[in-house]
Amino acid sequence: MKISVNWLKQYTDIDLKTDDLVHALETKVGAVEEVIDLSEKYKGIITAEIMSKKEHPDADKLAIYQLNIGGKEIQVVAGDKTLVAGDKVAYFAPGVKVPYNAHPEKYDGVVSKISLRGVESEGMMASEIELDLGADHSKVMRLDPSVKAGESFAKLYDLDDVIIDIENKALANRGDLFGILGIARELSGIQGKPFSSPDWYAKPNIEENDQIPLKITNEIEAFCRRYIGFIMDNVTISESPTWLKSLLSKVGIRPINNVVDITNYMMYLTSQPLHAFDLDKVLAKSGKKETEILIRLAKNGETITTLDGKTVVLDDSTMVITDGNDPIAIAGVMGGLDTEIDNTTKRIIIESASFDRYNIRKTSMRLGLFTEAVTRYTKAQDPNQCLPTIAKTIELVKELAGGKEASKLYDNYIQPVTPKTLDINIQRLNTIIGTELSKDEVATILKNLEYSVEESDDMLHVAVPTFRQDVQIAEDLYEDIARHFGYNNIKLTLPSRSISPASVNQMYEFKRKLRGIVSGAGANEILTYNFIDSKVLGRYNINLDSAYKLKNPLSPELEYMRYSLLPSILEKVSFNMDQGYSKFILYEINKGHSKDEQDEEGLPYEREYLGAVVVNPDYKGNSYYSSKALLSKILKELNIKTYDLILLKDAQEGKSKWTDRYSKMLDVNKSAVLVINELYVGVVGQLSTNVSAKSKTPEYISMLELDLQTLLPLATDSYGYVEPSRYPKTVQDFCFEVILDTKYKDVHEMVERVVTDIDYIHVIQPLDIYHREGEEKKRVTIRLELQHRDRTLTQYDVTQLRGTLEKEIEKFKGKIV
Amino acid sequence: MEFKNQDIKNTYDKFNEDTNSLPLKELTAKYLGRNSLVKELLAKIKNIPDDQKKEYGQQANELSRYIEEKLEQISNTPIFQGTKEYIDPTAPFDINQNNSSEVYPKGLEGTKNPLTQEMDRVLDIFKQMGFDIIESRQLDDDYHMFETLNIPKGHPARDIWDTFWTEEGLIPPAHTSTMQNRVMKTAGQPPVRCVIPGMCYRNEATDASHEHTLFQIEGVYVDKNISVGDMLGTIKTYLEAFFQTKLEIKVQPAYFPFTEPDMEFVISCPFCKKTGCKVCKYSGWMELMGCGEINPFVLREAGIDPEVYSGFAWGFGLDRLVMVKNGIQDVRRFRSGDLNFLKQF
Repeated sequence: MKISVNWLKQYTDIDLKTDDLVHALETKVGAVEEVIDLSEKYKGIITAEIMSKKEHPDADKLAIYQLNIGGKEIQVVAGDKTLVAGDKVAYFAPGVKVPYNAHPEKYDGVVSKISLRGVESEGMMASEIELDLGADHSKVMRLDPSVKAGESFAKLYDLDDVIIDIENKALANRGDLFGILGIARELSGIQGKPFSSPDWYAKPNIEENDQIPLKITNEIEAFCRRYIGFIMDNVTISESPTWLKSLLSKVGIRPINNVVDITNYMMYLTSQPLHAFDLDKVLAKSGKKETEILIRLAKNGETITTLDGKTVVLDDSTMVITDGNDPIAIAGVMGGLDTEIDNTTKRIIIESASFDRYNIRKTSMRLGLFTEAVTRYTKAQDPNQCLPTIAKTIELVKELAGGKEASKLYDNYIQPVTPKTLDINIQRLNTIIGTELSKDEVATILKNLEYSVEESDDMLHVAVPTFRQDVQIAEDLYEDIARHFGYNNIKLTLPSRSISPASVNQMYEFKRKLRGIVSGAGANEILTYNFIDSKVLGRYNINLDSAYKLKNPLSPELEYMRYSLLPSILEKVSFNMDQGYSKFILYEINKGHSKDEQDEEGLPYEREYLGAVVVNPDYKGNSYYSSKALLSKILKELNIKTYDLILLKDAQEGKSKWTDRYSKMLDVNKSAVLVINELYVGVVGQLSTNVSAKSKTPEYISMLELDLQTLLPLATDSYGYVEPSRYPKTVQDFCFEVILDTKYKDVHEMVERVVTDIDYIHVIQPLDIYHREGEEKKRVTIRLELQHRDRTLTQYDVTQLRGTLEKEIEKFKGKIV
Repeated sequence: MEFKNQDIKNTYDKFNEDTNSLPLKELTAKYLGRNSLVKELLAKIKNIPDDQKKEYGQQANELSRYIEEKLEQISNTPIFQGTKEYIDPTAPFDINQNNSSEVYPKGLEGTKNPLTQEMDRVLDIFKQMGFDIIESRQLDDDYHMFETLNIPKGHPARDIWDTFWTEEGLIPPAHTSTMQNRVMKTAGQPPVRCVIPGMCYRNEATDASHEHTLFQIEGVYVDKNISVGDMLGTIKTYLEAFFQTKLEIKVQPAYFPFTEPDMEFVISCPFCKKTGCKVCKYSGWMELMGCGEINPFVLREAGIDPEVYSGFAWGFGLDRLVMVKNGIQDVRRFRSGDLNFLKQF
């Protein structure tokens, strides 16, 4: 929102220098985006008078002018041959920089003394575009005849001004601050001065008559809370006076003609958008004898050509202003082209209305139309401001366009907004903000902003003027008070609390611990997106049915929400290999959401997973074992000593979600489900050859995924410590020959049981599993490191042990060799 | 298989290609469904000259049968061909492959993601200040994401252009504030001192400084007589601990529907100590986070009486901070899975 300091000064004194003013705005209103010192922009530009004109001897399109620039005469050559003696123009002397460079390809914007076809030209006369006051560059801009030569152009046109642009985002809830009056009021308060709204704002006065009948029907009072319409005739459309053109240009609004400029001027002043229709065009369009305006919702498929020349298709949620039949404006957004004000306009209908902000925003976004009116209507606007705004507009139309009042004032305002009363407890205010303001200080701040304040005990009863639609609860007043007191003046304190420690978030600490374990094991932690591509899931044969689908994804690659991590991690493998990394482990700890799982709130269960992919080309055996080795490390660190791994092909469907999810992605003969205490905790495995080929992933890759909510309670801090013995260790290797199908686990557990029974301190280490091609048996070699607590172990002990082991292994149809 | 008709042959080739990339459901819809390619082929028979109609029809049917069989195969095979043997999953290494030193890849240097590392650091500081940690949800409902935060239905902030929605109307949250109501309700009655870390999702096109997925950290503090002064003091204390240097602070008015008064918290640039650098765009100041006193509506909705209690909340993003701290130029690197990036941490 661009504000002109000179314009503000018309409504409040500003005793601050520019820097202090900007600082005050930044700290008490909102972030300032830009500060433009216009006097810099228009520096050195002076007025001049044409004294005489001569034809250029060598150029048909040029003329030579003698200019009086105030006590001095100079010569300028120009392409505009229509100037005559006595014309007043704006003059750029050599060295002056033009406010707007219309030909950046020809020069850098700094005027110089040049020779045009052999004739010297000392400087340049300004066109409207070069003065950044409009779009016309076809001729030199004529100034008012009463202007004297040699005067400062900036001063004359109120361009020694500073323009401050406040970030719109900071004003998001302040509908009143999109008008100069509102900003002036704030600045007044900031300077500690009381503000009074101008008379025409506080007490609007309109003269109505019966000249032209005006019928207005509002069919959508729920969306259009107030509609004021008024007719003026005898209007002469012309250029606006320079003060108005200059004012609008300064704040970024293009001047068009006097009536349109007046409506824009008033909107910018009060934040109340207005619209003017050409009455005769409305009648011509409707074909009716009498002027009619009907406000309704559009019908599906209805169209309108808007002021910018585009044809827009409407639907039944859009508010439209119609001529009784067809739309002549998209209400609150943009007017129609065929009822626009132009040079032929003689009679106008002025509209000042209040529209539902949510509806306007929806319409604006759907149609892609973002106008100054939309900016204002999408904030809460005060319906009461419609009347003073149109009253002042009528005055201006009379003054600048010769118009005359020509109808009754039509004002449809069924449920007027009345001032709200809020109570402030001073103690509470000071407690909440952290200040020590007295009742009087608070009352003064509020009264300066035009609140009405009554005092009683330590309460203030505040009547909120309706132009502050953003103030609905006492806390909104706290904000006004705190802001004007100055947020940066508030003393910094710290709340006190008991010394009991914050509660521990078990899952968070668990995940942190896991990260330490897995990164410590040589893996690199990655983060990937929760959104995934159906093509990726298809590549890994992952079922889409359980995945949540987005209605509005950023792209088709981000359409589904994943319920497991492995596909996303697998996708990161090949490009890393392309970069030369041949051996690595990637892992991620993150959440997955499945349609099959809900929590106590009935929302998708936020399941936490650890997923890891191991790329180990060096191992010649099945890659499953590389991931299993990682799993073993993890489980050891978590002190989980007892667990089982069941081949995926044997794990019952339905009981294990891992089977349901991954049996088509993983090789079910070379992948297993992790089971601890009968709970299905995770899966370890390698891709099936089919999926490996489809996804172009090497076969030496393996992976694991663990369900952390199930794993967490199984982890323990108990290390199972055993007091070491001071007696020497004995190391014995045993080779068990068992049938091929025997699980290693069974052999290991048997050995463990045996040495535990005889209470030997032990370390059991698998050495080898050997199988000769064609044979039905395999040989499992295990190394035992043994110690007795109270003595040195003897050969006899070893023989006894061997005997026990032999007996036990026979139960597995095996023997010791 | 040989097909004479070019259309039929093309469809056959395309199908074989697609079996490598499309999931079963899509394959079935594309080739055998209502408006499928096979149906198209069969419909085209009327354009075939009469003497070739019979052959065309036979070939189309042959293709249709082939596709049906193939799809049947794919849906019925949980076990894929090529691996007849099964392994002993309980063994520490494979048969005849006892080189256990190579079972597990050797010589790897593990790393943690810089984002999670920084998150741990941030949360450690808050833990020391007495804040509980509750992680934010990654999929939530409309009520928590908007309604409990004083953003009723129809309010501009809800617009479907800002957030992602699932078909069921669930939302990957655009802000960690989605948890405010829950953490307050879980605490029962104040004091509530809670920090909420989590992923947030914004429907925004990505580039070097914008991502659709970000880390955010929210804070909530509710007790008796908690003031704006307390809020500013608490945030400053945390930031000075985080940047390990004294800081100057200033606040600017801002607007959030769930806080009142609300402001933007700005600090003197900790990287150049206010002298001006690339990080703070030579201004000497860094805008860090939004904060404010919790709107009484939000408190009431969580069962806390705003006449008795008050509190403040704040929210800031972690990604940008980690980027400027380490000189990372592109925010997308965090989630790239690129070892060239990851190994540096």
